[in-house]
Amino acid sequence: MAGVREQDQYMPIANVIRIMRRILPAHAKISDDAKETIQECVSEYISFITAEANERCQREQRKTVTAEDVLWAMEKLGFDNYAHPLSLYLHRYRKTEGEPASARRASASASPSMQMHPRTHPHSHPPNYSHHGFGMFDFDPSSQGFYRDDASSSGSGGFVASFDPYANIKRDPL
Amino acid sequence: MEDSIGGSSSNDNNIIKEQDRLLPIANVGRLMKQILPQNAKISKEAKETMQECVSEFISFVTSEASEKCRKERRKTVNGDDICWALATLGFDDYAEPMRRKSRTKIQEASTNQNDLC
Repeated sequence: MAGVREQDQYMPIANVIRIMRRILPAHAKISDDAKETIQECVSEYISFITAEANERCQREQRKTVTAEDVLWAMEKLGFDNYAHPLSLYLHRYRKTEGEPASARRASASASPSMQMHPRTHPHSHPPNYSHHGFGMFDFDPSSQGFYRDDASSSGSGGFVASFDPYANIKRDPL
Repeated sequence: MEDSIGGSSSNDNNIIKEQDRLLPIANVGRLMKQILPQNAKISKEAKETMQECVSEFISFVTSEASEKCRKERRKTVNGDDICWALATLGFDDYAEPMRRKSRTKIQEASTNQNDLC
């Protein structure tokens, strides 16, 4: 786009740095080109997923992009391991929308961390950033009852209920 | 210029302020809007889902780049570390264009420097 202002094209650099800081050790430094690279990547990432979500909306002749469209786009574009925890997050978000803020904070801080990782390179190990605080995956879905197949569950409920986090380590009974 | 990194911004209860953890929702929405047709709308939940995911994406890539720097005993994370992390984590489609862009910027900078001399 020709006439797009820089502040419309990229995320604010200060916010990007703040997120990076929480991951890096206290003595670390970030070069300008690292900041710019991440900043550009974030814009590409958002555009990439939004474009795919929009395509789905157009096919289904809908004008509003929903959270489910975003999750669907992530899954389609290979971010399968993002989509599952995100759908759990969305489920919890909808459940707690009616609760008072204090109750919401208490349930968030009481539960252990759950992390997601996108499809990784075969030789890479998923990085450990469990120290980075209370993020979207820092809750225990089993304690919230997300693996129950509730008839009342809205949105991506069926998708969530069918998700078995231990499927890859289960063995058939002898 | 480089940026010195402080410690974590969490308080005693280890609960991090929303603005420290997430990118501004207005900016996320604005970027999404640029991709969508004029008449399209974006639900609040869609913006929030994207907002959360982008933060995780930054954390994920930074963590891998940081690990590389730690192994190589360097204190500064640079653009090449980020590109390497992207490629390592399977975001190969991002890594190469970013490397090219980075090289172009360096060439432009050196050309400008030569023009000044």
